Amino acid sequence: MALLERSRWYDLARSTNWTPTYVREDEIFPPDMSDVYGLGMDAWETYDEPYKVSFRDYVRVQREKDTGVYAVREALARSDYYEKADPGWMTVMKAHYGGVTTVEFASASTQARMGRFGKAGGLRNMGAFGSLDEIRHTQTQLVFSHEHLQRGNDPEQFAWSHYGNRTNNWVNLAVRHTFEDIEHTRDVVETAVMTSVFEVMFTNLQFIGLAADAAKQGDHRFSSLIQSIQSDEARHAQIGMEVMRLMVREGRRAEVQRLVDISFWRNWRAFAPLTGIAMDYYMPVERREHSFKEFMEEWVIAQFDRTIGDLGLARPWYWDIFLDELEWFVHGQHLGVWLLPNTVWWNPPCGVTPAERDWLEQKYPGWNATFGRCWDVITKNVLDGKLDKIQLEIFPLICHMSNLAITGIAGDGFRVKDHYLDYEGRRYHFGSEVDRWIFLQEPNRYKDYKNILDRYMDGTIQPPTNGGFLAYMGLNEHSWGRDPHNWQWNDRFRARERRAS
Amino acid sequence: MAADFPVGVAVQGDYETRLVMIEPDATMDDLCAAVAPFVVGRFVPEQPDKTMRIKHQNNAEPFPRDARVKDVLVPWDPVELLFL
Amino acid sequence: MPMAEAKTKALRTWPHLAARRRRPSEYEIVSTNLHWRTQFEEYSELSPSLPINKWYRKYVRESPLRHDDWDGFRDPDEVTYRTYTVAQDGQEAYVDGLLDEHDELGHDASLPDEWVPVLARLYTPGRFMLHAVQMASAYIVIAAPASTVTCTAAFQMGDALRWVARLAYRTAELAEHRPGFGFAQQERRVWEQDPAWQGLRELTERALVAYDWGEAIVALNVVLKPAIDEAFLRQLAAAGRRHGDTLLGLLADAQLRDSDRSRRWTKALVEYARQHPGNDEVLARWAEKWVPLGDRAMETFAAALPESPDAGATAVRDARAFRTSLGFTV
Repeated sequence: MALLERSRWYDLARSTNWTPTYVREDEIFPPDMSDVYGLGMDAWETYDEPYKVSFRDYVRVQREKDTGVYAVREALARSDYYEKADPGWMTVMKAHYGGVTTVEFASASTQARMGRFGKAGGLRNMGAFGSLDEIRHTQTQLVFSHEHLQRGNDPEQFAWSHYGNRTNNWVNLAVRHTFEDIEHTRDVVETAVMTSVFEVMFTNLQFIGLAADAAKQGDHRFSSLIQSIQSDEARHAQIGMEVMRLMVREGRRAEVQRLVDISFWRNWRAFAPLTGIAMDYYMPVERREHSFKEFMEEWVIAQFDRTIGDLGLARPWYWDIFLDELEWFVHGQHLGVWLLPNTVWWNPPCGVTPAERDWLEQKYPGWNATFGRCWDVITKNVLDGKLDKIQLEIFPLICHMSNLAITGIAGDGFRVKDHYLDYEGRRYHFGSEVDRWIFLQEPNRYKDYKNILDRYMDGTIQPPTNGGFLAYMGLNEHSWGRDPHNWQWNDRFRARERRAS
Repeated sequence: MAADFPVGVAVQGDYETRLVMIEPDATMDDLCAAVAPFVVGRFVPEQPDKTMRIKHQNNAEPFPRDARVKDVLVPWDPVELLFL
Repeated sequence: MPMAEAKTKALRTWPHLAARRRRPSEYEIVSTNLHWRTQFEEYSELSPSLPINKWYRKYVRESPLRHDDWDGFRDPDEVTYRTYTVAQDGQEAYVDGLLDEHDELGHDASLPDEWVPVLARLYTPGRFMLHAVQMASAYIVIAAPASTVTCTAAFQMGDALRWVARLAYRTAELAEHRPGFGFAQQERRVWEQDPAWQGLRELTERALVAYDWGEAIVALNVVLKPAIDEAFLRQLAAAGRRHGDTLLGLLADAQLRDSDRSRRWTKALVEYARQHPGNDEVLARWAEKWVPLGDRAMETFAAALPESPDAGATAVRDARAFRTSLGFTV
């Protein structure tokens, strides 16, 4: 074929700015939507996206990818893998689908918003491709999760994949608050930068870590789906990287640093309960690849260091706080979810049989003397048949930023702190100094928010009972979680006790 | 009197801070008694040889046992329940 | 803690689709009821005072175009990402074939001298307009209150991206094969200054800032895109065929295939909107505002076509026929 190389026409396809005269430029590109930093058209003309693709190549490559994913699905359609899979693995999938699927769909609008209000032609084109990518991610995961409905095992929990983020479940509130802050409520510049931190660093956790774990579990259907999704990320994740470079060129390094600092932390707090608990507690221990901490170090921190190094940025000011939390944050979050399984749409395994505790101690030295102490009390109550004592009847304070319970270090290392703030006559509670700092970066953005505890206290949740609470969060007896192993895990403690005696 | 004074309590050894609604006139001992059944023996072990004391999160020393909530705390203050 | 029993009752489909007794299509499974931004009182959990929260309140929630259930809208073609990439991969292979074949035939070199400046004046500068269609389609993606509208608008945005790329390709080819006519150099100046374009440029710029989501549908899908179809695609191609430019016509036909898909979902959306009382008047009001701009755009552009005295009137008539099929009377 004697077709032109892409490089011959590519620049023309992105030279699409002109000087409007029938309306004003700031009507087509309102600063609040396009560029709150006022970088100017001359700066935007220097935007050069590193990953270039043509529509022709895009549809061909994406078609091939979809063929691959759907072929694997077809090949495994008759497999009874899911009938025999460990309940812990099924839990991981339910949690993933319920939290992630429609976040992808919302991201289609994030990308399209850059496609509309971005001031650089290349950025707008990449946003258009990115938007299509996110529709792909949404629709593929909907197809795959939909098929779980018909198998008859906890279908309502898989149905959360479709409607979870339309509920006021506390987890979905955390998801929405986080991703609305990062992706949906800022101008193109801040959106591009913050979304890139999410896409370039943190999606690796869920989509590379999860894919590897799925393969190890023998769930090749899910593994191929997830890997295929992640293969799109590199391209559209670059949109914001180039915005960061442009801002640094324009002397706005401090602003980029601030945006990166905010986004990194918000992502950390969102992914730790989602991915961290899955990796450290839900994944069947015989096949665990890595701890959450190890995965963060290899994939997120290493990637982050490379990225900020390239841009001449620094590690966030709170890096020591973050490294400290890597050791303990996920463990308190897991306890909270396990003790209130009927507030989530999956069945959380306890993840603390003797073998699992040994694994946890190895990966997080000192675990037995901290969180292990809580589990000692809980386990003894379970073994003694005192199941009423593992009821959680006294509820945690909820962080006004992350929407997670305010947790800390338990047991011998006891350290639990409410990083509260009094602002304009109202007290806000935060799970970390960093969440508090984020609030103070732009109080008007966050100050009107009512978290789920506020809604309980102010009468929004009616009736103000446990039943009312669960109904407000969209759960019922078909969708809320329970112990997936039917308490059989405590048999392993009895076995160890018998061996010891 | 209604139990309408909110306090965030982190029990020593526990993993999170918890919301307790208490009467404003309640003493620190009353606060301990209100929290303990839901946490002690459930997530932290019983320590019958120790006394439960309340300390503001930011202070070094616990409050006197007969101090009243309304006198030493403001609503939504964070405290720790220590075993001393 | 509830000790629920093992659940074995299967769900046939998502709860919101289960009420109907028939199987859902894959399209319905993957496209319906997906927005959370329309589910709650405010667009987001962040403060209502944020500019974007106010934007959504004004331009979406408070749009005069009303419906009790926008989520009920369906794309008649039921396009999904998967079917879109399959179909467009095939269509792009076809267009690759056209370009390759015409290059081998020396098509550009053999174009008559009087036609080449017409392409430089009335064809290649169109990439700004086509890109604006891409931008305006992206706006519908982000503003639409139904995920089914968002999805069809995203594929329309993809189509626009496709044709900007193809026009850029042709611009580069013409610059190489017919140097000296300003290809790949003059397009922005022509778009901004040549009288032939000013009707379309005005319509394009105004459509870009029609931020009410319903008005955006009328401005883009009922007026601007059909004006482009009739004047820039059909009438320019007709003039091209009279001057030995067969490639232009073939490419226009391929582009009109995508446009026809847009027309089908636009018709379905307008019909759906008309179900709700009051929307007929709202749509009529917008049509009265935008149609004159569209007509003037087509007439101004077509007047510049060589030996095409009826082109403007034909374009206007055919655009109106489309609108009539949507229940408009202007």
